[in-house]
Amino acid sequence: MLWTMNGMYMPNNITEIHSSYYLSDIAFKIPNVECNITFDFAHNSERNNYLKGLATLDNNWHYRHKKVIYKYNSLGYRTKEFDEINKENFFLSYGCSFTEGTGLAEDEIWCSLVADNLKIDCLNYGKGGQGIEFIHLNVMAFLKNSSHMPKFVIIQIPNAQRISTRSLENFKTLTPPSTAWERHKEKFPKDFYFEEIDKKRSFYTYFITLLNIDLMFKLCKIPVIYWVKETELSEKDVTFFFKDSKIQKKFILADPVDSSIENLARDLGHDGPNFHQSISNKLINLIKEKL
Amino acid sequence: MNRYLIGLGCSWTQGEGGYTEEVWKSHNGRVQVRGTDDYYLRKMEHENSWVNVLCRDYLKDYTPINLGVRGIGNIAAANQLYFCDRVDFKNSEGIIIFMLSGTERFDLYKNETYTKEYQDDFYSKNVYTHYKYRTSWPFPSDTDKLADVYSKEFSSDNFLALNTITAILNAQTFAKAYNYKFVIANAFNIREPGTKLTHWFKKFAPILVDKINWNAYVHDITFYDSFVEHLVSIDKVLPKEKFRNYFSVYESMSYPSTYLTNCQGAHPTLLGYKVIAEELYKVMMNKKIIQ
Repeated sequence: MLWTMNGMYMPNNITEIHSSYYLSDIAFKIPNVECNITFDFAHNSERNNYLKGLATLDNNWHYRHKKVIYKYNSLGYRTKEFDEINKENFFLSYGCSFTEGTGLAEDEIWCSLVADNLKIDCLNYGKGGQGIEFIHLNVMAFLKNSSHMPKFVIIQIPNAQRISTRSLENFKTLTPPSTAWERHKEKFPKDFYFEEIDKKRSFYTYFITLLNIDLMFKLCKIPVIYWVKETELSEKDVTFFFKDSKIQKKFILADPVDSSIENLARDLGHDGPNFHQSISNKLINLIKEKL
Repeated sequence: MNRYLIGLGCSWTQGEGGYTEEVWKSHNGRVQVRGTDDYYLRKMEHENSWVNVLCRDYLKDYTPINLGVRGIGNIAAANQLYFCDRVDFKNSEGIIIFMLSGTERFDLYKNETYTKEYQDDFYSKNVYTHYKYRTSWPFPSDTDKLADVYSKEFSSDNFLALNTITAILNAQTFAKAYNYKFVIANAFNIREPGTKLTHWFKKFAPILVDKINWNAYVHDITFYDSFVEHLVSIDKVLPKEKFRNYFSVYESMSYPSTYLTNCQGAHPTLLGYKVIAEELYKVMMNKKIIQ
């Protein structure tokens, strides 16, 4: 993790989280984040793209008027402190930057919309750049250390190609090569990723980790819903792994929305408020119907 | 209701080394098939592995299911439960025994995981090939990029301990979800003198180590901390205080010893697997896991 000055942080493509992980924590403590600190931008490219948006998009551009700030709690997540929520009426959300809400105001994120609609508190443990193993560990930590259990859990499935290595002090996640990858080409040759961590390879790791998470919540009798933006699961694999599981009925695929530049989040990279409204509506309907 | 005894682990579970005298002679005293098809040995390996011997000689109303795969690490060993579709877990009962593989092994999947030619693996309907894992060791390498990146960037006591604890928890959760009994044993992991494997877990994965039911651990009541230590001891090839040198000593032999083979890493012989099965039976009786 490259921590910079000027009130912003820059998660790089190989995310390293050097964590001091306290026994009482209900989630990984993201280090080097001052408690309850506020940032104006998640990273440099968001600031650059925001300036680009101001220069090129018309006066109706949503983020010309909408204020976005990033406020992190004492564990480094963009959410309330555990002590601040109604412990008898809350849910957990896990995921990557789509759940952390990169480029969005906090009230625009899908889990905030679900919370508002259902009049329930949300603890949001989304963290940009992370994969399913990070969620797996956070789920284990919560179930072990929390004094109160949630009404339900919603997990946004991150990119399946992210491979994390588990360690309490040095949690690393490899993400697929992109332009930012160039910064690390000496450390990790790009062909390493293509040769060793292709979609097929990572898919099983991701899927079985998901099944392990599902079993943990099942044992705790906590309902859980999953959603994913897009998937390339083969029918053969889905048939095999879902054979005995009710997980398929809890799996939501987000509907595509207009992703033209003016509809994106402020970072001009992630999906914007329309997408989050759409997926939250689907989730709310499912929760009302099933839970 | 069907009763199963399910073995998880690596070659020490699959049964490598458990060959008849005839096989040893036909291979000139050294059977270690690498890089070529070993299927012609699989049936004999399964027959003589501790998984089958335990059912054949002691737990006669249990059906053995051997999920061991040569060369894999502990995450893959636990993941094997999801590839086992010949057992109806919801409508059966039994015991899952996790014979821990090397904690230093890091598992991904091969590019091609589907079965190409029919070779019954004896635990699934053979959609996926038995050797579907791509396991890596933390050795710097110019030719193996995964091993190189793993050794330089990921591998640490923290990573290894937490990865192994996660694997055990995955298997334990699975057992609990399906009402199976759960047993943990250590095949060959050795720590420095005076440090048991459980001490190492407590030191490097303190956050989750007490989520494991250590009453299910075989070696908290045995006078040895791993089965290799016990087999070396009764083999009397090495003085007890030097058993850590077993790796090179056994490999230098021209023919297997009574309880351990001369393969790289050494594996139990046919008699070695019988000893392991007997020891597991005694411990399970002692702990009242079986009556």
